[in-house]
Amino acid sequence: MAHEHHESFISKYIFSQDHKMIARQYLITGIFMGFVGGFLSIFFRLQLGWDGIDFTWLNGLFGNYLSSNFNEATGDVSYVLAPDKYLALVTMHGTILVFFVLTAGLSGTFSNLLIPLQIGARDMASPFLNMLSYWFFFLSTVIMLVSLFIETGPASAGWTIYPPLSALPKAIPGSGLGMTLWLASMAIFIASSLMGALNYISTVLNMRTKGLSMKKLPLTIWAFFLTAILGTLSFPVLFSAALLLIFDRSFGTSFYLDGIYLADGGVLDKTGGSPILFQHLFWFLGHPEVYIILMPALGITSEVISTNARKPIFGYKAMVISLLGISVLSFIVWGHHMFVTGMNPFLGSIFMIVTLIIAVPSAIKTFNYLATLWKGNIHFTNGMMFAIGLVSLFISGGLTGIWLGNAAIDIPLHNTYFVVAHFHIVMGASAIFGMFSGVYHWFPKMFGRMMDKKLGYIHFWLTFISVYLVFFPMHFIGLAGVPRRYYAFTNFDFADDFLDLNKFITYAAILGFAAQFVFLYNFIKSAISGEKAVKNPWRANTLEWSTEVNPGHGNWVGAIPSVYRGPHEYSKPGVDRDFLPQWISEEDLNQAVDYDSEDHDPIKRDVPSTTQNEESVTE
Amino acid sequence: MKQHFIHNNQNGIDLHCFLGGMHKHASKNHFMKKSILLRIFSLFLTVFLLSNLALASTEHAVKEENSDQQSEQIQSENWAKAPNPQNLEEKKISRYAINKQLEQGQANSSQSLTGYIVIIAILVLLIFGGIGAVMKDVQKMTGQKDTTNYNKINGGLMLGFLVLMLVGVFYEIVIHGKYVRLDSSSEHGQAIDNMLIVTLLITGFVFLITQIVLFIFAYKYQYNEKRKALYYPENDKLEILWTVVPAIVLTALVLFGFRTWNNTMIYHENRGKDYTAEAYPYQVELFAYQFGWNFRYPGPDGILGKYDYRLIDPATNPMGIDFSDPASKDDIVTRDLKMPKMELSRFVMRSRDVLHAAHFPDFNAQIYCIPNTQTEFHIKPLYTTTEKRAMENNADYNFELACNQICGASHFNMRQTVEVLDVDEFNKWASSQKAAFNGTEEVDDTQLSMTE
Repeated sequence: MAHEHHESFISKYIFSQDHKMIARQYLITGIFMGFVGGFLSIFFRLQLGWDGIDFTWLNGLFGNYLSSNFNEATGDVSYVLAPDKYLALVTMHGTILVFFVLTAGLSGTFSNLLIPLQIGARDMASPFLNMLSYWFFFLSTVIMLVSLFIETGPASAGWTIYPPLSALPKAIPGSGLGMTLWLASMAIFIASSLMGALNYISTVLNMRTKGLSMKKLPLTIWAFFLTAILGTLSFPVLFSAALLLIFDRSFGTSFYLDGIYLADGGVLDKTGGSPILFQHLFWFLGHPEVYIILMPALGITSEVISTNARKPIFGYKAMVISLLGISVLSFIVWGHHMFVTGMNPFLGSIFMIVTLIIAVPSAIKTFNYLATLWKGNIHFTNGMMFAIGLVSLFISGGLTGIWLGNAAIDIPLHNTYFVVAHFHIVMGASAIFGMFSGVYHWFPKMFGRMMDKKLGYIHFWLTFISVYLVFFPMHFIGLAGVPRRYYAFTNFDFADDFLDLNKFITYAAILGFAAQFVFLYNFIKSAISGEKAVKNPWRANTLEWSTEVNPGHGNWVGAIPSVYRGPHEYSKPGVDRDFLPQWISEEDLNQAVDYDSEDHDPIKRDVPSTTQNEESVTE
Repeated sequence: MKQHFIHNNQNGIDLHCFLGGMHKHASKNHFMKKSILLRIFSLFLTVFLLSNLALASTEHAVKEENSDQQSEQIQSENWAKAPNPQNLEEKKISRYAINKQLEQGQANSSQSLTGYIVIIAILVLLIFGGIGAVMKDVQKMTGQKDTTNYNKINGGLMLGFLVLMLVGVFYEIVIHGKYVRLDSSSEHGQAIDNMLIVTLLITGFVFLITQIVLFIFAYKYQYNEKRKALYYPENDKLEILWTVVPAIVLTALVLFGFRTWNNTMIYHENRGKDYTAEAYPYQVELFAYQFGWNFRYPGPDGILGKYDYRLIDPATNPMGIDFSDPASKDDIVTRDLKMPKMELSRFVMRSRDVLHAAHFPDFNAQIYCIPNTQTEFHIKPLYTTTEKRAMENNADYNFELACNQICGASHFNMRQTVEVLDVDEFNKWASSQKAAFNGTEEVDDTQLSMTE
């Protein structure tokens, strides 16, 4: 075959242009960053549970985050987390999880893996650009990780890096070199994200196999496609916002700065800028970003639920239209992050209307999921468990969005723990659950082996329970008005009622984090020595399951299969099996096809090699 | 073509090679090697964690010798400093310091505890994983097949989770519901509370219904080989139903929200935008800085004078008031924030350095403080501090002001108490204050000492 070629170790595993290898690279980097971000959250949760807790055991690696307390009476030195480094931890936790795990880790992994496989393409439209996209991402990851260990600490102005705080090293030490590295890393990250997104869009539009019209696209592809469009349109705005901030910090401009007097340095010679301008630019990306994170998770869930409930996804058309609706609306709701910045109340009203309108497509999706489960025949695979978990979390977190989208209610709740609870459930946990669902579901495609399902169940239940234990009580803390990003709650009467609850939340967070090691163990063990996968282990309909267990570069041996129907024809009446793959033609269907052959090979196309099963391959 | 395929299949991109750098052979020998690699990896991890544990425990032991003595000392110090009711104000100042010390004292006994918990949790999980792996090996050797019905188990667990969740929600409401503020102490705040209660009821209802339906479906429609799922790809009527119903409910919420939002934020409807002393008799300027607050009252003329950030001098003119403006000459600069009861106080917010947000949890009021830009918020308190103390049955109760926009290291420490007085008392207090202008266009800084 034309695409067969010998590859060296480097071109195969490092600078690979194969979309499947790039997907694995994204996934492994994403998992690594997930553990880094998770560790940072445990780090600051310990401080929140026990104000002034001794971190001497972390002094070796994270000494720059600690300040020493010398006790003269005992001659004892203890190390506690410095208040400004608490903010650094919060900032890096948010940045890493939002961008490096849930944007690149999720979209990068599954868009890369599934777009060519599910639309019947041999690779991306531009494999080279795809490779560059990963390595730019890798570079930005390295820079971000390096910034964790510099002396003045990493960026500390929150993941939203609002100026003037992020522009003035004299206001907080993290706004020095740490912020510079943050901006450099994000600029490279955005370039990576754009290269990926352009590839996804052009691949989906141009490289679909014969018969695969847009109306027959799996919902995963719809989600990845619209996500890529959102990314292409919104990330450049963040890029320009970051660029202007770089100018303000380094080249003496004042886009965001005006009328500042610093205790350490006096009157700042900058006039005419507006810090609120930055917020508008930031949230113009920031809100679509929420859907850039969420939509791939919803797409994955749609496929996994449909496959494992053995039912067509209920209302395919409505699902696509609601995705489109969410995509369009997500560009005009950014102002709901800024209700209390002092914006014109009329503008606030407009943002309130569009924000609550976006709840309608979200509601449609939820009800469609429920209708898909109704009278299904649910296989509780690990992927399905996480997909059901996502639906539960999406409901819980989505409903509190109706509170916060309402400008009046946002006045007391803005920037409180209620917001923390809301977005961690609806965007953080939901998207992570979508990602886990995808990993468990497509692991056989990625590594040719199955994950250990018992460990998967343990992982799911521990994670699911701990997510609710951590974030549900936070609603109450927020309703009492307790602000987020507080180093300690001991200074205020209204905040110190929750000291016990904060300890409890920290315990639950540790449980949740520990549960992820079950996943890590399972992931590594299964990739190396898991049970060998069969071609179509979930008996699914979409094209990726028509390839070999370990597809080579080029995906299909022989011709690319054509598509004859939509992706969700499960349990169709008149068909003796409960699934009907997209690539089986009507003629094949009428022939007696043995779906239950030894290798569970649902595809009987006229290609000699497909009858070969792996055990019989001789040296 | 076949040759190619076989070659391709053997070289199938696989993590074995990626991680182990080994060529993939489908032989048992190779499988053994991989298992051994994995065991070695786990062992390495375990040893690493155990050594950490050992290290932490020796440190702990050394600390413990000293800490008994130390914590006793801190305890006694704390008792000495313990707040007495007559000395409330002092308590507030030393509160953080005391807490810090207390926590340090406690931290000595529990300092390494958390480290232990993390390490032990990881160890336990590794052990579980190890047991699982061994059991699987045994199963492989004895040739037993895993016949557990995981669909049944997980279906049951789904139902169990639903029950747990409902109990948990109920428990949370009982235990922590009392901290939720649904009786705001300001006029607009009560309207917001009503809005919040309506939203809570609606979303709470939807939450319960959808979660119950989700988990019951998951339980009820778990896999059964005798059954085939219902082929039911769409129903336009249902789609329209669950598009229109949420849309109507949300429309109602939007309209309700509009009214509350506009009533809260649009201040000038009957009073005009001139901010005269007649239309807005009670005005106060709030000035946030890293890390604290200054306040300016307009003085007898009722008008806040001009300001310029270039005039700021922390010692003499902390708010940058322009004393060349006649309206500034009688302005009062203070660290006390007082409001009259049942009168609308117009707050003008500014910031000296970075963004801050003035957050009054008691009054459901919040707005950003921005350098060189004015924002405003109007609050009409319903109770005086004394009345609120009686209502809460808590002699220490104070209305509080907090910063709610990340602003630097001591963001969490910008506490300010707010005192609401009867109008007469407030006027008496306001007229007893000295103007900041002392004739030399410089502020009298005796007003600025910590009088709180």
